[in-house]
Amino acid sequence: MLEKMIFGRYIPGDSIVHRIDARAKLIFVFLFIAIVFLANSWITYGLLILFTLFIVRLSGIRFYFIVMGLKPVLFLLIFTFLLHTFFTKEGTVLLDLGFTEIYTGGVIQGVFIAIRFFVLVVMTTILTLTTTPISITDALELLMNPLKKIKMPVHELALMMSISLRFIPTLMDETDKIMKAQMARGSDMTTGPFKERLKAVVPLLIPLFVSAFKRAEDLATAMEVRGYKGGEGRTRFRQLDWKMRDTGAIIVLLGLAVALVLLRS
Amino acid sequence: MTTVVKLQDVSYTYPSDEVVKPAVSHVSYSVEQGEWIAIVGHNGSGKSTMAKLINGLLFPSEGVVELFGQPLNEDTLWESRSQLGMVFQNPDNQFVGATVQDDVAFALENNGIVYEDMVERVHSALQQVQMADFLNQEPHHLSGGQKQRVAIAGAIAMRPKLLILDEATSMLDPQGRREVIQTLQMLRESSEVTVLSITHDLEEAMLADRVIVMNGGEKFLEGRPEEVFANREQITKLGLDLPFAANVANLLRARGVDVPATIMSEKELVEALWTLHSDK
Repeated sequence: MLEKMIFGRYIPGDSIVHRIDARAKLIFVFLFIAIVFLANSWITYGLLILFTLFIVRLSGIRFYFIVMGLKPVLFLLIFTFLLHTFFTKEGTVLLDLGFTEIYTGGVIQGVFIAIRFFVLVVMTTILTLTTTPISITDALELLMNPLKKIKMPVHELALMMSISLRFIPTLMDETDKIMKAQMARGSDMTTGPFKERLKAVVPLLIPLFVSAFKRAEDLATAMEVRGYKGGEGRTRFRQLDWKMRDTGAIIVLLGLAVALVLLRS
Repeated sequence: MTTVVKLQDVSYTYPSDEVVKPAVSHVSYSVEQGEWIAIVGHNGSGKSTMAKLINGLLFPSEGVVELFGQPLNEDTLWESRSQLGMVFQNPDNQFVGATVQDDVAFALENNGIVYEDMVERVHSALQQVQMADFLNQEPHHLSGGQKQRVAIAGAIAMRPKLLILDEATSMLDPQGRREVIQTLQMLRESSEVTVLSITHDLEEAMLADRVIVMNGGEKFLEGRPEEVFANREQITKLGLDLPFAANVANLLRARGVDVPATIMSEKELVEALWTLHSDK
């Protein structure tokens, strides 16, 4: 079950992209999302694609994983492309289908939007593929630290996130076990009409919830005994270390932004 | 010698109990520093409630629990807890960290230990339980025995005066149980830690200096393991399984083979058997 999930999956490696501080990577991706909107011409979009491919190359991640990451949004990509192709009425008529006409402006716009989607998804996929979920959590906690001033429970949110991540495989195993136990008792979850299958899920969910609550209670006790009393006065075992190369990565991205501003029409 | 734990006439009744029957009733004992105590009893004998009373998850309805010479109450609770390590039954449900080293560091983080010190303590604790090669492993890649050893490392990283094991081996397979017991034996040789082990595995209880048998919330027997387990009938009547070697010796005696009644371990049994003929 676990193997199929590409989301949140981490591919170990030792590339420069892997080694960059998770905070830098997060800031990088967020800035990149904003910068993408600067592009408005063939040359600027071309530059974006080149930049993205360059990062993919740097990360040393096999292209297969990137494609897997793209799969879930492929439909959205095609859909937006078609939407723009059919409904943007600019430029000259390219094709007359009788019921509607396709304009050159529409096709161009469609391609641009598709490129925009593509680079965004590839960039975020690279982020999750090269950074462990726990580092992302740490980075989020540290980056959101200023929000503590406005009473945001930053530490609690980060802890919740890391505990959920830690329990995903445990609960997956449990689901698998319960499913097999119910199947052994004659429950059929894979065939039959949709309504029947939906009903068959109930005897799966109830034991799963019961056990999840039991686990939560045990975990709370264990945490309390180990001295957990909130974020106050806690130190951190996981240290993040902001290096020159992290600043460098952000500067490279700002360079890209400047180039886009200069080249856009 | 300093007294680590002292229970004085402690009773506890769960508030939800319809039948007003105390889970623990009028129990007194004390544990000295460096001792290894095993508390045994079948399900519902009150042994787990006792663990909760000692770590302050519950406060006694009657009597006083003293930890490290101080009565345990809401004011002394956190200070006492920082000197107390605990390992629970379910290996999965006490693993907080994302990886082995994060989990071992959890209690250290909670107690505000500085980073440099933390790294050193995490490494030495993992070395003590022989899990140093698993620093970055995630819990779902570990066996039950390995997870329990990590839990022990997490507890001893705080350098506690007292280590409480609440049925720490009961959910493990024989292999995992052996690993954990070996780890505990090594710990005992290499450090001064006081161990309070709650168990229904009598072989594990054999490792202790002193055994307390609980029954129906009361202290039923107390003494050195050999003494306590010499009361075979009583022990079996309480629903506890004697160690395999002791059972064999019992059955042999019933068949008229003259082996001593005090046999507890396999080693003693072998010793008795191979000298049986020559001693005659």
